[in-house]
Amino acid sequence: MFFLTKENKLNRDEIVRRIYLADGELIKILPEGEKIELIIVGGSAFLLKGLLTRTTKDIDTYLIKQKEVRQILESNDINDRCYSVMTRCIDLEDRKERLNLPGLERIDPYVLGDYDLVISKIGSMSIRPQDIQDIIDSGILRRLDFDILEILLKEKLAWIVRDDVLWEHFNYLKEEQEKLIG
Amino acid sequence: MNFCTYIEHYKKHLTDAETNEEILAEAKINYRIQKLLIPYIMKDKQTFNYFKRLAVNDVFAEKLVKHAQATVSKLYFGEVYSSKKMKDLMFELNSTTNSLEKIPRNDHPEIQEWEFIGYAKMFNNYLVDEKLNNLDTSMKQKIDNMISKIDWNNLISANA
Repeated sequence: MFFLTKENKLNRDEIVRRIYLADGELIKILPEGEKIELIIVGGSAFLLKGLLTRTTKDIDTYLIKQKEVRQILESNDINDRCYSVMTRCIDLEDRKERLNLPGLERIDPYVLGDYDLVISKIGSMSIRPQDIQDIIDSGILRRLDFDILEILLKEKLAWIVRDDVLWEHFNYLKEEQEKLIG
Repeated sequence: MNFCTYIEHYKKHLTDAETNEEILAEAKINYRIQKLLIPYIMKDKQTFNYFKRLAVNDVFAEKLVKHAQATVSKLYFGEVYSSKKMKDLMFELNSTTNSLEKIPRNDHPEIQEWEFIGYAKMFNNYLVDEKLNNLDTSMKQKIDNMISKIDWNNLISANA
């Protein structure tokens, strides 16, 4: 359990408001009982997990297939544009975590699991130093077993844009974890 | 809330940097601050002209100014976000950047697609916040009511 700062709560409030707003608009186009699954990735996933505070307000998600749904989500700062440049495993759905937001009628929200959140940030096309720094600053490294991470990267990768940097980033993060935990 | 005030608040959310020089230095190593700087330098003519002067001797500042102008033009002509509100916002910001007069529609300086999308999202953040702030009372109450029921200490759980 982590200590929830006022700043973090305000930031998470802004993210969930966008989800509720989109849900209200999706009611108009989706029939009752139909829900779209939303798997949140990126900076907002870190923020929702209480791991980062200073992220932008847009919400990156896993692939949204329905065009009309995508348009409504995008108009509410929720979009899947990072999907094509996101390193991912074939079984990431097995590790997704439920986002407990009461009262949603058309959205079934999740966030990426910790391992997939880290994996999504390494080996992607638009790798930026900040992505690696986010992983380090968030403290998520403390929660990972790097043997498991290595197995996932070797056996379960579905998509990677830049495999030339994958192991470079893996080894760098592993060293950073060793410094953290001693 | 007007755009200038909004972007000042957003800046404080993302960085402790105060002066333009400090923000510029941080933007060179932090892509979120770089994304912020594109709308930030357009918040008023004084700020935009400051960065234009910097751009004479600073390659990064020059890139920001060009990207800002390209972003206004691309968004005005409906790339990524095609709403009237976005177009109106870009028309307003054009009075600061003169993008539409200086840059023909299909002639943009080299700006990576992922960079442009990052900048575009920042402007959409503003429009969505405006939408949230101007919701009708019943919708606002509905959202406030649902948020009041969130157990923030149990926001995330294993997917059973």
